[in-house]
Amino acid sequence: MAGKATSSREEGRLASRLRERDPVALRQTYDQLGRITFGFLLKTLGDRGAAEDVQQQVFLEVWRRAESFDPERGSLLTWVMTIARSRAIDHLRRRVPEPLDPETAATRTDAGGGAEEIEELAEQWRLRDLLDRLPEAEAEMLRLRFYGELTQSEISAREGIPLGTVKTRMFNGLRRLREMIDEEDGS
Amino acid sequence: MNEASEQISAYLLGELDPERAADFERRLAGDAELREEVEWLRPLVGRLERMPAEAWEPAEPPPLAMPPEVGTESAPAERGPGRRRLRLPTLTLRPLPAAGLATLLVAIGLVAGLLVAGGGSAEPDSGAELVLGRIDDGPAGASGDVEVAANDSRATLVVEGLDPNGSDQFYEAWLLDADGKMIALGSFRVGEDGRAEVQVPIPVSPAQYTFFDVSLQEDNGDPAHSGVSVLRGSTS
Repeated sequence: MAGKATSSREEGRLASRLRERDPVALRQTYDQLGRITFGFLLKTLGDRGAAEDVQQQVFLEVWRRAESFDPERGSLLTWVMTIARSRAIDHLRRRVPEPLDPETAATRTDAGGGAEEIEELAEQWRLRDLLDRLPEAEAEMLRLRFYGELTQSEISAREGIPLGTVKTRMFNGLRRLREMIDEEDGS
Repeated sequence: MNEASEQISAYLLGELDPERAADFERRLAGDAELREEVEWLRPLVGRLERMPAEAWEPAEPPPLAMPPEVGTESAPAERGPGRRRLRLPTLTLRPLPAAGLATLLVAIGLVAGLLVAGGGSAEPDSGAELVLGRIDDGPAGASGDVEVAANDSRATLVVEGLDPNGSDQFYEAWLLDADGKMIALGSFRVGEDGRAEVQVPIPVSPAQYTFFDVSLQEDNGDPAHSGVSVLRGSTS
């Protein structure tokens, strides 16, 4: 058994502590989700400074609106990502056009293209968080396949793991991740 | 894993040669259950394929700036008598026998110091390692250790020899003090092998607490420590 110790029960408790204005709970929420929201904001806004500013706004809002989070209606991840997406859209709408850094121009143009693209990015980052909750061996298979772009045979050869084990971990990882998505979405 | 499962992932990952892919598609056409499974997993594979490279290697976020009003509040665990009391009716901090203490409650030292000095070959973010020993309610042979990351923000907890959880039970990791101050770090379950490895966030410096503790909790919605500790180790 491995992975992040996260469960809906735990989330419920964290949410209660946030509502009780427990600063430790805010730090804990940031530890759990700060990388995900920041990654999403960085990709969406294409500007580290802006992403850092909006990141702080997001968690300020998490703190101030904690009582509006209802674990029965969705996960903490979904709620925080909804706030991050809204603040990202606000920021892009407010921004005065300026010369783009060629390194980030494509991202910013794409992200600024519309709410749909931002929604898609938010979904991808939500998926990223769920990947962290998989057993490590299964998450690693998915990383090698989809990020490393290796086939299952190549993973087996490179990692020295029997092909059958690679296939089992790959299938189990996909299935488990899909179940997590269904649970997140309440289906 | 059966052959169908193996073929499902190979098919979705585009790793079947054209002939086997065609065979599989013929099979799909005649097998509703198999088709349902494939269609359930297919969008996920698409999402993983579209996942931005940055998501696989996320950038480090900036430190959290606490809201200005937090300066006038303190954590519930640190408030005065008016705070919501953590219930400890049955929790007693039972010291281990002295002999056991020497072997079980040993903090092994800070690897981080070695890393800063450029010595050692430990993992880059390795920090203190704490050894957990069985406490009265723990099964014989139970043990555990905790590796706290050098920046104290998370820890890896490995436990062995614990009783498998029933369907209405789970284990919970805590930082706690002899005066009853405590913070829950995360829950986990143990299967038939009696073993678990989990990462838990460490939102405060472990040095502020005396013990790292693992409790057995009933799944009854009560967030308080059950008072049934199975493993414990000193944080210093």
